[in-house]
Amino acid sequence: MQPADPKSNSALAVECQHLTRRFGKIEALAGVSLNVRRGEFFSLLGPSGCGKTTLLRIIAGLDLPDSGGLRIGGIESLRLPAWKRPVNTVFQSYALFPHLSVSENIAFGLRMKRLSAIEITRRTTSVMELTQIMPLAARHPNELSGGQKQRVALARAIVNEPQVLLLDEPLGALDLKLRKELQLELHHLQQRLEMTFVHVTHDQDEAMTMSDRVAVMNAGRVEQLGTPEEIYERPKTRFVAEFIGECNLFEGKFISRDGSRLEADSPLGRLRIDLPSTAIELAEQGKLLLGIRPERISLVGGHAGDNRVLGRIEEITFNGAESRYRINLGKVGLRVTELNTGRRDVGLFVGDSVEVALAPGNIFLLEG
Amino acid sequence: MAEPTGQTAFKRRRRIRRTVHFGEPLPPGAHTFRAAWLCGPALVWVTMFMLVPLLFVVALSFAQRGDAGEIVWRFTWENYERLFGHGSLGFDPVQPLILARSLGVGFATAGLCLLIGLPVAFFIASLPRRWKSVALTLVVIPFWTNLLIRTYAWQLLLSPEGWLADILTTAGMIPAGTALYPGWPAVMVAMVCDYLPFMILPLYASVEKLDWLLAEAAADLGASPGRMFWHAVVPQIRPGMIAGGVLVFLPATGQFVIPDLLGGAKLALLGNAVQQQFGSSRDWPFGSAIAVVALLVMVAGLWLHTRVTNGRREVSLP
Repeated sequence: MQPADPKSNSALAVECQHLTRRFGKIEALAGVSLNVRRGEFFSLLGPSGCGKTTLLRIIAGLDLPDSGGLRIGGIESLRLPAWKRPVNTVFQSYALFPHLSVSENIAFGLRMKRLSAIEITRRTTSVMELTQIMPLAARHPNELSGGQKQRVALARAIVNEPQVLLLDEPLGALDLKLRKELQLELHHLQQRLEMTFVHVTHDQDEAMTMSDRVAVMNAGRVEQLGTPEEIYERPKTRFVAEFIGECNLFEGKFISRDGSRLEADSPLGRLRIDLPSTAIELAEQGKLLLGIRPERISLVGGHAGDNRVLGRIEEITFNGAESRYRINLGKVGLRVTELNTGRRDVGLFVGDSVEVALAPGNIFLLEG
Repeated sequence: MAEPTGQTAFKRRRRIRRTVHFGEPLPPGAHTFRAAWLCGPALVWVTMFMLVPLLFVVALSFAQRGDAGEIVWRFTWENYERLFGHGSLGFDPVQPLILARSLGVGFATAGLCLLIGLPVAFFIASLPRRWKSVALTLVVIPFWTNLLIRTYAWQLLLSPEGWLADILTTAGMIPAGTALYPGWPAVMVAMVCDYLPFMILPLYASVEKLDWLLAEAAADLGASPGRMFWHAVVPQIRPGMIAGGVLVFLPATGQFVIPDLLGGAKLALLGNAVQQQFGSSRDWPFGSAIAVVALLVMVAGLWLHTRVTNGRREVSLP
C-alpha cells in the first residue's frame, strides 16, 4: 500500500465524491460531495441525524460508505484501514483509555508509530504544554473534569500531527461558559498549528465563530457550503435560513424583472428586491419564497429606495443590548430586532403604528 | 429558656456524623448494629462449618499418626518435612512432584480454557439478544450431569472401541486396540471440558460490557488490529480473564476424580494425595499438611495478584 505523504502538494485535504451510506431504511448520506482545503477550519453543521457524524466516521475510516470516493491529501483512501490513515479524531465522549494516565494516553499514538522513547517524551511534553495540561500528566481519566478530558482528548490527537484533525462535537458535553472559552482556544490552536480541522457540530454559534467555511447538512445532503458570512447573509434554502439565525419568511409572486432588480407581489405589498447574480434563475419561477433577517428591518427611518410597509407593534421584548418587536402587518407578522443604541429619539410602545423599512438588498430568495 | 437557639441546634446536628447506609441516615453505632445483624447468620454459619473445621485441619497437620492410623496429639514438623521431600532414605521427590504437577495442571487448564473461551465469549456477545440466553444455557448444560458420570463417559469415548480411537487407528497414528487413556492428553481434554464454563461465563460478562469506542480510538491512533486488541480490548476484559482464571485454576489444582479415572496412578495430583491420605492410607495428619500447603499456595497466589494489580494503579496516581 502506498504510504500517505504529508508533504503531498494537493491543495485539498479531503475530497468526498458522492458518498452514500444507508443504515437499514435510513439514508444517512445521500450523495455528499465536498472538498476541504488544506489548513482550513471546516465545519459540518446540522441537526442530529443529518449524517454529519457518519461523514466524519467515513473520513476517519471507522465506517465505510456504500458508494462514492474519498481522497485524503490527494490519495485515494477508502481502501485504507483507519489505523493507516493520516487523520486523528477527537471523539464526542473523548474515549480516553481509562487504564492509562494522561501522559500515557497522549503518548499512545506515538507508541503505535514505534517512535523512540526520547522522541515520545519530547512531543508528549510539548503538546501538554501547548494545551496547558502539564499538571495533569500523572492523573487517570476518571480523575479529570469534563473540560480537562476535552483537552487531553485534543492533545492525544494533535500530538500525532495528523494531516486532518477530525472533531466530533468536541465541546458538546461541556457547559456554556467553558464551551465559549474552548471555542476561542480551539480556533487559536488551529491557526497556530496550521492544521486542517474538520469539525462536526449542531451548534450554529460554534460553527459560525470558529470556521473558515461551513457545510450545512440536512437529511444526508449538503444544503449549502460557504463562509459563515455567505451562509448567514445569503442562505440558499429554506432549511438554511431557518436553521441559522432567525428569519422572517413569506411567499411572493413574480411580477417583473429588470436586470438584477426584481418586483414581486407579497403579503407585505409590492416589493422591490435586489438579487445576486447566482439567484436570478430562481426568480422566474412565478411562485417565490422570500426571507429577511429581523435585524435587517428598520423601524422608522431607513433609506430612500427602501420598501415601506405600515404596521402596528404587537409585542416588545426587552433583552438588554437589543429589543425584539413583533409587528402586525395585517395579513402577516414580522419579527424585528433592533440594537438599543439610544440613537432613535422616539420611544416605541405596544399599539403604536410604525413604518417598517426593508432595503431591497436585504431580502433574499430561497429554494423551497 | 428551654428552647435551644438555632445555632446550638445546628451544632448538635453537626456532632452526630450521619452517613447514609441502607438508604437512610444512621448514626455510626446504629450502622454497626445493623451491619452485624444483617451479616450475623452468614457469619455464624461460616464460623461453625468452615472456620472451626479449618482450624482443626491446621492443628491436625502438626499431629502424628499412630500405628493403627489413629491420631496422636503430639506436636511435630514431620508431616511438612515429608511433604517437602524429607524421606526416611534421604530426599524423596514424590510429594514435591505432586505439588508441582498440580500447579502445572492448574495453570495449563486455566490457560487452555482462556484460549478456547475467549473466542466463544466474543461470539456469544455478538449474538442478537434472543440467542444470547440460548447460547449461555448451552454453555452450562454440562453441569446438569454429574462430574463422575461425565468422566466415565470420557472413558467410553476414549476406549479402544470408541470412534476417536477408530479414527486415529485408521490414520495410522496408534496401533489397533489401544485406549486413549490413561495419560496427560486425556486428563487435559477432560479438565478443559469440565472447567470451560467457569471461564466463559465471567469472560462473557466483561466482553458484553466492552466499550468498543475505545477500540475505535486505538485504531484511529494507528493501532493495527492486533495491537488494538492488546492495548484497548484486553485491559477492559482483564477483570473477566482474572476471575475466570481463578475460578478454573483453584478447583483444577484440587481435582482428583479426573486424574484418578483418566490419568492412572502415575498422575496423582494434590487432590488425589489428600484423598489417599484421608482414605486408604489413614494418615489424617499428613493429609491435613498437604491440604494446608495447598491452601497457602492459593492464598499466596491470590494475594500476589491483588498486590500486582493494585500496585499498578497506585504507581500512576499523583
